[in-house]
Amino acid sequence: MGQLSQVVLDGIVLGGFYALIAQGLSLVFGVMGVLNLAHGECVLIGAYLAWTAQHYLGIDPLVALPVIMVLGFGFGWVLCKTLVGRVVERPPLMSLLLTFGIGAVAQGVLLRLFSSTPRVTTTSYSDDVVNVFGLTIPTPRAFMLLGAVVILVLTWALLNRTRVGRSIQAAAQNKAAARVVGIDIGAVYAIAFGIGIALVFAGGTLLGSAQGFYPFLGPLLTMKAFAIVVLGGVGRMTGTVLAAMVIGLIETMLASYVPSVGTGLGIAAAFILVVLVLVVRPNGISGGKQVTAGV
Amino acid sequence: MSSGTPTIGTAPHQKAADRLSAAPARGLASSRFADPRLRAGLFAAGLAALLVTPAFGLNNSALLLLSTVFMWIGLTSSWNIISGFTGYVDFGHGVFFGIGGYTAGLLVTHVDMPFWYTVPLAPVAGLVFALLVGYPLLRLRGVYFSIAMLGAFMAMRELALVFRDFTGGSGGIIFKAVIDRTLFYYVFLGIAVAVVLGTVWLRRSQLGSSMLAVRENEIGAEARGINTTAVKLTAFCVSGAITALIGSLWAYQTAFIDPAIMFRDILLINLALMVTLGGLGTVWGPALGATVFILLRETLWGTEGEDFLLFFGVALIVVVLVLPKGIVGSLADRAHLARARRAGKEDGR
Amino acid sequence: MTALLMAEGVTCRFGGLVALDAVDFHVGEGEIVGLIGPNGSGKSTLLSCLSAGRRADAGRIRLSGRDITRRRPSTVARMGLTRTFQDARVFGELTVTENVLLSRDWTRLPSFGLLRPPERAARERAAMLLDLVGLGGLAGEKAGSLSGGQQRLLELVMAMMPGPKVVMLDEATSGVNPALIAELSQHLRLLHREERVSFVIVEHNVGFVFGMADRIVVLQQGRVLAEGPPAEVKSNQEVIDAYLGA
Repeated sequence: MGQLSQVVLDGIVLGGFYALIAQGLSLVFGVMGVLNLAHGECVLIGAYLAWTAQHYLGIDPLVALPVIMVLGFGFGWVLCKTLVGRVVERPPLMSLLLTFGIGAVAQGVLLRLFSSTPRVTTTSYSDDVVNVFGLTIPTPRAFMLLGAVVILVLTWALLNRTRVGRSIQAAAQNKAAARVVGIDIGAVYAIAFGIGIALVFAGGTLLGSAQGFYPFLGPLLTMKAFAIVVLGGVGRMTGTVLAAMVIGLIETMLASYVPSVGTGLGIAAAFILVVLVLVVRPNGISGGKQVTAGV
Repeated sequence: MSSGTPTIGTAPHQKAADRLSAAPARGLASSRFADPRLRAGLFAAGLAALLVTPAFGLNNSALLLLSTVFMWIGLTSSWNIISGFTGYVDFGHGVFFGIGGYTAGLLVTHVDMPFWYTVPLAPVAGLVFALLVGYPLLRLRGVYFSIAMLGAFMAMRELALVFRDFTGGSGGIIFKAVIDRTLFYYVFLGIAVAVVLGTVWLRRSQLGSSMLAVRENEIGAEARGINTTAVKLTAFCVSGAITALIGSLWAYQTAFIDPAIMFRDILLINLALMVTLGGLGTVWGPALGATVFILLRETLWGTEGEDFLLFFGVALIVVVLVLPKGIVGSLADRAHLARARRAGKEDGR
Repeated sequence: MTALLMAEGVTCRFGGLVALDAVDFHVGEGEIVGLIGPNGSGKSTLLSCLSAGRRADAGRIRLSGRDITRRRPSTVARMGLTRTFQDARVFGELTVTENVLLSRDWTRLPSFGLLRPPERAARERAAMLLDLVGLGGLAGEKAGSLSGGQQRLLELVMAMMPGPKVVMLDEATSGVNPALIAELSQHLRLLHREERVSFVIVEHNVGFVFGMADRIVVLQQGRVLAEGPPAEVKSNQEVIDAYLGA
């Protein structure tokens, strides 16, 4: 039993990270209707930023985190104003192709700058562990969970308790009506995209000290985030968190209980789960925005 | 515009054109290139030239380049059936390429089947996979489908890597090599011609129109009596089967498969890029895009260097922003505009 | 006597909201039924349920005695119940003729006929119907280049093409130039006569619908408020209070 509770705890930690990056994807998709295929690469950019700060300047990732999130917001804002914003009103294919292209560029740049060698952001507490009720978590992973929870709570507050957040939600529900009441849709898009990228930069920062990362990890992260968004329902934060936990748990359980092949099956498991869920509940675990074609 | 008392059933031409509308009746025969006989003639001439080309002592690398172009014409045109015609853009289409290659590879290694016997089985495997995955996933709205297919692609790559005993894992499978460039030249030429002609025919058939209707408005199409599920699934299966066939042939030509080359990310980017460049959802666009892109890449770029991701990514972004309808789509738009303008002049406006 | 289209106790809920509350509705052979009611009264929802676009939560719908309650929309269309949409759903990238040929009588398509270009009989019927509403001259144009009014006519032809038993028109006059509404009603009368089809007309334009219909059904808050010949409904005090008087 001891081992099971350890596996569950590991799953929850992983799920916290997934919830953070999936929330970024969900927010952008909910507001703009753009499924960002460069999402995973953005996580990696965050991770490499933290790594660079630590490696060259000796700044602890947790200290750098707020700065990296601001950079993420700026990066997302600029990306939206220059590229993504131009294709929002066009057929969805265009934004898919565009973000696919952005992802490829990001991967290419990361390869050039950092090579394909896996990196880990080492910190003073890298080898420490935290004991909780007789279970252990490596300290960086504990910070990952803690950071994810704090940031998600702040995001929830931002979206539900501030004017900006309410504008974003209004735009997500009804663009035309939002325009009528004087919301600048272009600005809302840029802000939403900025927040989305800030969240994944944060995710990347936290991930970077908890485990190794390399430029080709991007699509994998995009896929996980996507699977979670589909399972949880677009624009539902509770659904996203729940689905992220499910995916995190499945992954850790596969890794511990399926000998030798389990660790390599993260995507396959998530994918099969998505397919199964879609067969049973076409609109995701918690309902929400329609995912199916409506026929 | 005159307005008379409404009458029914008489002189429909005048009525419609004058009172309800702008554009007068006109066929499609304004562009000279639109003459079907001329097009068929050009096509036949080009094909004849390609058929005799190997006889003129081209070196192996030129033959390889041409058969690469043909292979990509086959891939892009088959991708276009699901992604362009029905609008369900498949971002994981490389999964079929891999399934084709692995079907051949596994049959050759485990059943000891001669390679050419496996060729007809590869598209069957692609078809079965398309049915299994397509039925749940094609119920998703377009964008979700796209990325879910990316998931299918990555999941299959994982499986190919993980089940080492069966697939050889990352070590891959080695075929008995047959290095015959001329043979593959003709095989890929045949596939390219068949797929392109098939697309021409599809576009004119009721099935093709139904696919376009699904792309434009699925609920509307369903209301017109079109079983949209069946239409989407058909498009997906055909598209997947052809790609699996090409995958198996490519595996044989290369004499080696492993998860990293059979399930290549770059294949997905290339497909999207070439087809967008040529014109997604058009009949000739994918073939044109594949040809233009590969020839450009050969002349400008040489072989795939280490920055190819960067290069493809930038190219894709530029095409999306500058030429979203592709070469064929933009030309068609211009022709349409010119026609409308001429028509306007004749009307005395 | 059973009617051609017979709906009994059709109920439809959106979450907690009851959009249709056990509505009975029928259409006889060759009948023109007008369906009116204030915004949100459930007209469009009823139309969606009848054409299987939305699944009814309760109730039974039969067409010529065959149960169509749980069929696919395409099956219902093929069985002889077609519709138009408020936002005319024509396929802009296809030509006018291709649009019409799409909604053909699929049951008469020879096996593997889907893979062939449409056969002559279908082409002729398409041309005939297009001429009938005055779109014959535009047959080769892309449907997307048509005006809003023309697209409505085209959609009407598309709904007529398979030779249906009942055609339901959702807001056929909205977005149509008032001067052309008279023409539209003449087209409808002609089609009604030539094709012996029943119409269900969902309308806001009260003058248009009272002029066309044999019988009027008034919906209010998901229930049938009144039903009867136009003259009778027009003088019904409840209807005047609820809807017409406003």
